[in-house]
Amino acid sequence: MDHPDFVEIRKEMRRQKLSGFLNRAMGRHLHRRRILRLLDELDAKYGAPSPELMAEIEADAKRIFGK
Amino acid sequence: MPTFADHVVLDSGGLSALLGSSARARGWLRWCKTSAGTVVVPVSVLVETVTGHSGRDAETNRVLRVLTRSGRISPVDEDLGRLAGKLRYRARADDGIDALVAAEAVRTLQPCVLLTSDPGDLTTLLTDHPQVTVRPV
Repeated sequence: MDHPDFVEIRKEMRRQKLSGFLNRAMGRHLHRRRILRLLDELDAKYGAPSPELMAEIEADAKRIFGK
Repeated sequence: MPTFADHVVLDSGGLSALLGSSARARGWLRWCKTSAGTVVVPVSVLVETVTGHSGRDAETNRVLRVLTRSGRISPVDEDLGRLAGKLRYRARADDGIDALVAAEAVRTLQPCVLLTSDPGDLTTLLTDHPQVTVRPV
């Protein structure tokens, strides 16, 4: 398995795996940013949730998801 | 089977609340996205939210495009249909759309929050699934 072709193939597979991982991570990041931008826009239109409401939701989420 | 971590499912009332003035709906979505969670819109929700009229649907479509850019409109497949049927039968319920939304929330077997404007019927459908928490918005 030390044939130069195999070494090259392994190198290319590692590169593609990393590239796929980075693409997926970038996609998730951009998607998250788009949703947060939409929420900012709706907050500007209707008024942001109060800090009390956000604290209530965070406490509820902590009970439900354990974090 | 999807394995979304920390997911928030919207039914049609939840989506309408988000399009309207519900600070609670926006608060839950903000929590979800800042916690790297996933927003799931079951495809059955479209039945109750779009009209086929591009003008009337413009705002709904715009929000759906943002929410589902990474393909999180969950399609109905046979497994989901069968799970929905089971939930509907056990709850002696009539509403197939609600049953499909409930099934979407149940199918990952992970903790999940289901946002709705009408928690009564969904809570009944989900009686045997304490990992799903129904929250009114």
